[in-house]
Amino acid sequence: MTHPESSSSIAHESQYKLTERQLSDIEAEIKSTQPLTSQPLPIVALIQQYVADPSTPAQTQQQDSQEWLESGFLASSKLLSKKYTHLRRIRGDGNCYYRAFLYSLCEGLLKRRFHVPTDDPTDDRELKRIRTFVTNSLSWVCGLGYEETTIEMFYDELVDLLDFIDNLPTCPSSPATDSNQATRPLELQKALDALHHKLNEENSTSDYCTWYLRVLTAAQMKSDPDRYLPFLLADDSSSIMDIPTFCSREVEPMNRECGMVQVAALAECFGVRVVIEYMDGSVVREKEEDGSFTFKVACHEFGETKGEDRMSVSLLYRPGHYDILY
Amino acid sequence: MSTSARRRLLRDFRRLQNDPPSGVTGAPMDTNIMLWQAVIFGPDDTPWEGGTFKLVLEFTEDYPNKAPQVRFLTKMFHPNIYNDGQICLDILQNQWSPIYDISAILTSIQSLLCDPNPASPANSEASRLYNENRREYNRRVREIVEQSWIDES
Repeated sequence: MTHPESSSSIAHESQYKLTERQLSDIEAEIKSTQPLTSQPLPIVALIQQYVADPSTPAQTQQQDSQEWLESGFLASSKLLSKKYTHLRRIRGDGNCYYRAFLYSLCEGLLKRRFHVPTDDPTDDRELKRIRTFVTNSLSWVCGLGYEETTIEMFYDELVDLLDFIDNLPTCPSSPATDSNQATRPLELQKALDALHHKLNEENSTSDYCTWYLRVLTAAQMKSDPDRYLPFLLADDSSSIMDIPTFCSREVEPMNRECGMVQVAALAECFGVRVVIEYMDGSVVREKEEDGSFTFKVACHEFGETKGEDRMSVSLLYRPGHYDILY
Repeated sequence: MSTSARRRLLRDFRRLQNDPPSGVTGAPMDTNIMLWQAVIFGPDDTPWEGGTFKLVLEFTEDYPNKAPQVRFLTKMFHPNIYNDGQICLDILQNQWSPIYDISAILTSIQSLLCDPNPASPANSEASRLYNENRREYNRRVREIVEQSWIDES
């Protein structure tokens, strides 16, 4: 006895398995072709991406709008090249914001350590503040309902990473001032290389800490629903979600891309400044006092935007993806 | 780092022993901590009552960043369980998060038994009967329950 629906349901079944397989193939492809974090590239690499390739034949009807869009990206990349010198690409696996934040924060902590005049990194108020926040974060997230047994190993990874950064040799014997930094570029470069190596190991520190940043992001949202609920309503008013549901669907799973609310929540829970250059094909025209116009790429700041001494992370956003800017 | 998956699995094991959820059990097979066998008991007051359903869970070194492969060994009849025992459950696929440990995985599968998700049919016949002829569906489920005792021996 067969039913008319059966064949279509079977098609649905195999379609589902096929989609699953395609997704895992794409994931494997990305993993094999993109490092977790690239070496820093001169900013000109960004411009080159948008310079028209003469070998591509013009054939589509949408050529005009495509060209217009590309010229917008090209213009933006040229504007950014005046403000930044380097770009570091992050693997496009849906974790890019968290991974870029992690990398940039660690690099910032390391560079700052080279400026601390003593052997003790906690002599720097900002280094001490970040360290204290991370150390206390496990009891904070568990207080917000997370299970210590599932979270602890991720927390340990981040604490170990901070220890790793603190223990990289800096030659503390010579007191540091800006003028004698030049005598230590070799140590700094070695330390940065060691950090880069550590944060590029597959299935290791970077993934574990990246996921812990997701937990911190979710915890931050849960700790202050009044602050973050309006973002969710603005994002998609057709399906209103509460914060715990949003976190379990959009924050806690690995590889889930992030929107504005996650960006803000992570920056705010660390109390650092996150500067994001939005490259979406358009440029902003601003009128100066003398009546002339200047062009800019849209730029937004999140987190702690006032404190002069705060750590700062600069990112490039292109639709669906984040990279690090220097 | 091959040890983090194993470290986490040991922790999961300890939690499962110290704080056992009702209606599920699980343990590593023999000496391989990456391969687990589990049993889910059919919840009381449901057609699944009395059933003992065996599963295997296969972990990779990516765990807990990646979900384990979970499959029923016992023959099942359920809208979201394929004929080969594979389970269509969001937290084992695109909603996976390291937040779930083995206890949570097994408990979620147990609640899936009585609360199928019509949006992702894995067994079209079970799905159709569940929607159109619940009496026949329940009868088929009870057949599976009885069969699970035979598989046991």
